[in-house]
Amino acid sequence: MKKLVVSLLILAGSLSAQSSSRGPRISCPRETWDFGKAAQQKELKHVFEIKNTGDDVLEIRQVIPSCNCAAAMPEKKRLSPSESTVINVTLKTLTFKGRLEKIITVVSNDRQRPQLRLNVSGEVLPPYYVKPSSFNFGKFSKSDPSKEIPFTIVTLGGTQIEIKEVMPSSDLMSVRSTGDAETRADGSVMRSYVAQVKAGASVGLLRENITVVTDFKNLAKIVIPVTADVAGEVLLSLQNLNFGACKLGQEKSKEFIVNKSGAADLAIQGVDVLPPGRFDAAVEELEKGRKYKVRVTLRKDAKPGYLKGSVNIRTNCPGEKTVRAWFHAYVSKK
Amino acid sequence: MLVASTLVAVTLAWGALDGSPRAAVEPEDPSLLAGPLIVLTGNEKGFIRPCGCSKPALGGVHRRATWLEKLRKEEPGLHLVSLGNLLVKGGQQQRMKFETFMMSMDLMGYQALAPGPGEFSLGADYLLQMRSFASFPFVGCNAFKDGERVFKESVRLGDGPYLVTGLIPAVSGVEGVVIKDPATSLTEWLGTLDVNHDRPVVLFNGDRKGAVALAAAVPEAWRGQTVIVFGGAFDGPFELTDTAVPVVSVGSKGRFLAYLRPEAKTRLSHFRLEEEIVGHEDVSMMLDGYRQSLADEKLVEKYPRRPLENGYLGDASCVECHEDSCKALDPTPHEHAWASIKETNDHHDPECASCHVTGWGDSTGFLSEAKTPKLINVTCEACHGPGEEHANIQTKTPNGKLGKNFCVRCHDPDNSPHFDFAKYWPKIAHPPEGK
Repeated sequence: MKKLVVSLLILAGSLSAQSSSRGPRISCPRETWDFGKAAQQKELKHVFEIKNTGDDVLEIRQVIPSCNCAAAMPEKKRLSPSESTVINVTLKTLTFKGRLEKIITVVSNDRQRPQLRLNVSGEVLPPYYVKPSSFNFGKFSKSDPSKEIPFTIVTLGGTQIEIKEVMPSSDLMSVRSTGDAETRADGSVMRSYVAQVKAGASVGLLRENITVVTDFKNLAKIVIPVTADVAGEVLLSLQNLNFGACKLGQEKSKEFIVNKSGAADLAIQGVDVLPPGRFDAAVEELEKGRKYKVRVTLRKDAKPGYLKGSVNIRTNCPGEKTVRAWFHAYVSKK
Repeated sequence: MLVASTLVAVTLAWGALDGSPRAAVEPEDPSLLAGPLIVLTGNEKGFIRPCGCSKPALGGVHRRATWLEKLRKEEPGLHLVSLGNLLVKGGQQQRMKFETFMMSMDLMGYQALAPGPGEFSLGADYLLQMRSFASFPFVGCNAFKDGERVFKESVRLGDGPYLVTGLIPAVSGVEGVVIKDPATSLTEWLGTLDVNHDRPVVLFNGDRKGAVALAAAVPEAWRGQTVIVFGGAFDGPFELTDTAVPVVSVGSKGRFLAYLRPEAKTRLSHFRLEEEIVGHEDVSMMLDGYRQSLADEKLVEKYPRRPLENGYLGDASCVECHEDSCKALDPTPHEHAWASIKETNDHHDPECASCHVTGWGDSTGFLSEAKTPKLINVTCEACHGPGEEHANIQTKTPNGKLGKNFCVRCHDPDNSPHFDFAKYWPKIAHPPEGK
């Protein structure tokens, strides 16, 4: 009993001593630093101030940068209360493109915060770039041209890059310059263009590129992916059917509606599900020549596994002889 | 126990990633486990599976599914949400990838996805159709069409106080969809909640600067209970420390799971999806299905190409005048680049094939193994450009003598993180002069 009382007294004493002593405390007035925009192959430098706001000596044990980022140990590794030091950080932009974020971990004897994380970030700009880096023309009718989408090619100040050509991957697209080069306040030069898909594209997902060719050896060309949904007169209410996870032996159905716009009536001549053997399809006419319901059913005898395929609807419409919807299903082994 | 082991793993993983010490978190500290666990993902930037070009190849939805299945046994009440930007660009392959993401996330039991600019680049019409594809809702409070929100405004996580919404930064070229100012939309949304009960988790799929601005816009009354989540460019999750409300990042490229415990002393920890984690059988099958679809759709062959007159000849033509150079290059991995992706069945994937052939993206360059067998692998013209004019009329090759940074077109930080020109160049050094 005596031992227990003594132990409790010692514990209480130690707890009281701990609560009255705060110990070393590491602090940094600004733990994150954004370098803003920077060119490639640069070394960006920043100084973080580290201060001991506690009441005991702060020991900086390690300074650990993440890759491509250097951070020197401070000259003063032991800081008395209220004393400060600095950590010099260098971030190499190398040939990165876009946002760059790095963390420098400062390990100390601050028991409340044994690791202080300092963040540095920036946006690395290549010598020239295209903005936006890809674009989607959205949905438009096959008989119309798409809307025009503007884009710019920016060359950084101090670079002598000649843009040799800006070329679409097919005759279906046009690209034209919309004016003279404009020199901006930061010395970079901006050239403006617009791109458009001409009328008459095939129905479905259009996928093209615009290639920007320059005389810059390290990055002779930039490819801008371009997409669009070209709509015909046969419209599906769903283009992707998800049967989700199905149990082995389970029959499951999904439905979608086929609508027809334009003057001529639609006749559905047949529906094929590919790959064959796992699904059945049935068509029901809801409005003569204008609206149909297609029901796709996963068969009970479908083998386990991930199934992906297409529902191919054969029609009488010129240019839309086959209209496709995609399906996904996963049949479990049990 | 698994959670504790997770935290140990977290600690070790972090150490392995950036060299920081291994005592990052104390697993025996009970405050670390306080309150509900919200597992955050997103910002995969197209990495549905690890690239596999270099080691360690971290991440992938198949490993994520395995780990979450284990974690759920230990912590069945965990919540799982994604802040979107699963992709960075549009196109057929990206849509196929997105659908595979959706299938796998359905299986993993996601509760919400906040579509971001990456998803909108698939096409607004397509994205809106995809709302009914997955069993979990798309959330977002600042995207409108015809005056109506296009996504569910918010989702409550279980019966608890946590409410998740999504915020999209200003996106250009979104057909028919109006994106309202994120800060204003956030304030309006918070105004509809109960400050004494609700705990908002805001999935913001913009950049760090935007996330910081959003944090500053959170009204005073909500500062104690709101968390802003964003993607970030750093691979691993991290927390910004000098913001008005907590701002946490989920990391990028799907290599980590971010663990958010808003009520715990250590709010954010993470788990690194290491190579050793065996991929979930069902999700692996989905990934195989995705790869098969790329082959079925012949996407490599259908890749849009720049019209070009100058032809690619293949290195058999180069050797006539540049025998020494060709000999020096013969034994290098560049000459086996195609075989290396064929072995892993990745040669049907345009994202892989583009760096393993010669003349990618040019009409006279690589089309398919069958049509242009001379242009498989990374041969002379892959770097120096098409050689037809050079061979016929002795002009300079289009790309001439190359600068050292030319290599980073393919040897980029994702696919060749250890690339160092000084170390790599000697492996393929070849004399420049011809006969």
